[in-house]
Amino acid sequence: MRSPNHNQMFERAEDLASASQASLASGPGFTAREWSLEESGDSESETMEAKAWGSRLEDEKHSLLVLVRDMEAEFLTTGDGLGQLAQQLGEIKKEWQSLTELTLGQTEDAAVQFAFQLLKKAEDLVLASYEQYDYVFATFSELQQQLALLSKQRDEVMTVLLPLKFITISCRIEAIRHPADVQQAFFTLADNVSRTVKEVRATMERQFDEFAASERIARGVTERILTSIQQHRKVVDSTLEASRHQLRALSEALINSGAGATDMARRNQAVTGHISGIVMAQQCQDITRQRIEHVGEAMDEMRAYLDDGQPVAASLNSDTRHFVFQAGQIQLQQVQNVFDQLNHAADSLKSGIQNLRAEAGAAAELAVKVGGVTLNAKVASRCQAGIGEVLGIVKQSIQKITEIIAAFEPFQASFVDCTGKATALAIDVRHAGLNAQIFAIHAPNGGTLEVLAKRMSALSQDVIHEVGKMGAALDRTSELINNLRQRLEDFQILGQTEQDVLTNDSALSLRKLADLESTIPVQIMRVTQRQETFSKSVAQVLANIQFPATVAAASSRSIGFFQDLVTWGKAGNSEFELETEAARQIDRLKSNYTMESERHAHTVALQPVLASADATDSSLGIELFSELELPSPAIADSVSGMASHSKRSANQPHPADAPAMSKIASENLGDNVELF
Amino acid sequence: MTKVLIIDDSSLTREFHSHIVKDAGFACVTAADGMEGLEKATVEKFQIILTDVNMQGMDGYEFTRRMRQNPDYDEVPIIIVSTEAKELDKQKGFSSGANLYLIKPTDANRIVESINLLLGTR
Repeated sequence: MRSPNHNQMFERAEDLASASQASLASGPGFTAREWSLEESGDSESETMEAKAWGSRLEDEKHSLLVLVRDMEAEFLTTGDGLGQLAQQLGEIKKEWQSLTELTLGQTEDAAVQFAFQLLKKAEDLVLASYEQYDYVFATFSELQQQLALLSKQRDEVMTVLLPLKFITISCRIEAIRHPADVQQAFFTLADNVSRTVKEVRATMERQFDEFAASERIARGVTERILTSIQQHRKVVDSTLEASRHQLRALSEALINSGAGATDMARRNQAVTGHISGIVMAQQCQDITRQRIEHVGEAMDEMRAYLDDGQPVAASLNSDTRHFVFQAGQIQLQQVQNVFDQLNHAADSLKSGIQNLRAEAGAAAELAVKVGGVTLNAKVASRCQAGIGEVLGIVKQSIQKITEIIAAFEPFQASFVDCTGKATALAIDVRHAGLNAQIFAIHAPNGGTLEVLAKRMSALSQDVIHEVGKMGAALDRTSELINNLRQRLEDFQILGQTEQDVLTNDSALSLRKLADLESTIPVQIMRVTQRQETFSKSVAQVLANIQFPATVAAASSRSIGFFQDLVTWGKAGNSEFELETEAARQIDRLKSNYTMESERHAHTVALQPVLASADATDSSLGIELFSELELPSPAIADSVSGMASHSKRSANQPHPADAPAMSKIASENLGDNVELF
Repeated sequence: MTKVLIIDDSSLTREFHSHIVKDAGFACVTAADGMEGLEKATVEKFQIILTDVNMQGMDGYEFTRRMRQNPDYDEVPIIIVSTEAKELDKQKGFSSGANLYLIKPTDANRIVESINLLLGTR
């Protein structure tokens, strides 16, 4: 328990400080050897020695109390600084955490994933347009076959038309032998048929010229597209690959940054650990302060004994040195214990400081490296450019489809005209043949003419048939082109829609990437600066810590002092009777002013209660959860660290929670004991 | 907000514990010994108390005993945080009415964990 005159001790110590320190500084310090009885010889000088030791006791006590006070003041200052550091570090940790989430794509709808999806969609669209091109090539190839077939059929139609020309000549020759009116009728018939045949031929030629022209146009477009597509594919493949590469690079850079951020979080966690370590070490102050105060009070008693308990001029009581020897030994032991504790704390503090300084510095350096990865890479910008290129390709693909549709348009129109005209002409020929046939029947001696007219009708029938066949081929070709056109138009609509979606998505993606590129470096730069500031703050806070050096100096001084005192006392070579006042005072010192004395006092105070506890097992008011089966001695031991008040609050743990609580208590108390 | 009363004659320890308690989201008031603690506890109500043992004026055991006699505080959790690590000291602490006995030095997590445990907030 703390002494009531604690404050007075400080005040007295302050008063004596200057005088005592001056005394220490002015002359050589006394040592036991210098002060040995053999050397001093007379009692007066011995008394003077005793007085000098009294003065030195006062000085040493003052120094110890100043040590305690300075230690407390320093710890308060550094504790405050460490608290601020912990707060700064907490904020820095949050920033790294947010950076980790941002870089590792843990935030919703991450930019890189979105960009990857966009590229995939664009690639799918480009591949779909390639499918359309493939279909165009296949159709065009089929169309060319159809055109060759049509050409053959046209030749057949022409072949069929040739006899019609000959038959008109036969008609004219035969008609000459008939009267003028018959002759005129058949001449007219022949003229009509000849004109029709010519017309059919001309129509056919013209149509086929148109086919050829359309085919040339379509072939030109198709060949151009084919060449362009071949180059296009290479560009598309390399652009997509490049964009993917950029995105992968970005992703990697982000992962690296994320990993860096995670490393930073780990390093900062270690920094937190070192701060906690220092704070824990500083807590030695409480117990050592109490111990030093107890030693100080014992020193007062020793000084009083030396100053007041002995005659000034007379011979020094032989008990005095023995008393000093005995009392000094007790206090030497105490001081050694205290300084062991303080030195241990100082060692912890020193290693904590070194680790904290090193870790904070390393964290700041790492932060700069982590920042460099993303800041220098500028990959997001390149990704944006890549996405822009891919979109350009998509646009071209859709545009080419439109060109193909336009190229096949005249083809389709010409096929419809050709079929219609050829059929109409063939029907005209047949009508002419039938008319000639009827006319021949009524003409006198018109048998030959009738045969010729029949022949004409039959030939026109053949022409109709051949034209019909050609019409069917034309229909198939037309259908082919129709299908192609329909398919391309459908794709054009779909492609346009997809392109619009991609354009919107790409704008969004570009914005996300731009955000990423602008946010991450700024955030990294900010947190890097904060990390650097933190490192400087650490250095500032640590610079104020003098404790390890102070303790080392005080330890050697104080222990040396008590050793000298004990040696001086021992050199008196005297003893006192067991029942003397000095002996009793030593006994008191052994028990007073030490932590042991307090324990004794507690034991005495608790003696009756403990005796009664033995009898009733729980009358102490300490519930040991005896109703529970405790699984191990460790837990059983820990339970002694927990007890509930007899009136337990509703929100306080119930004994039923004992296993969990006792575990915690076990860890807590066990750890606490080990830590100290 | 849950209010914590911290009693310790060491200003360093008071600072340290205040930091911990505030960081954990509690409000706190400090006192330098048991007597000052009693005075502050009469002025305002605290939901949990952390007290040292070795203090001049009134020590932590006496403070705890007095608090348990006060109907306003007979159920309020009291944690003794002391440098005294002997079994007898713990027994004395519990017999005076404390709910938990922690030995210094204690780390921040342990203190917050203990407070939350006794408040039933974890």
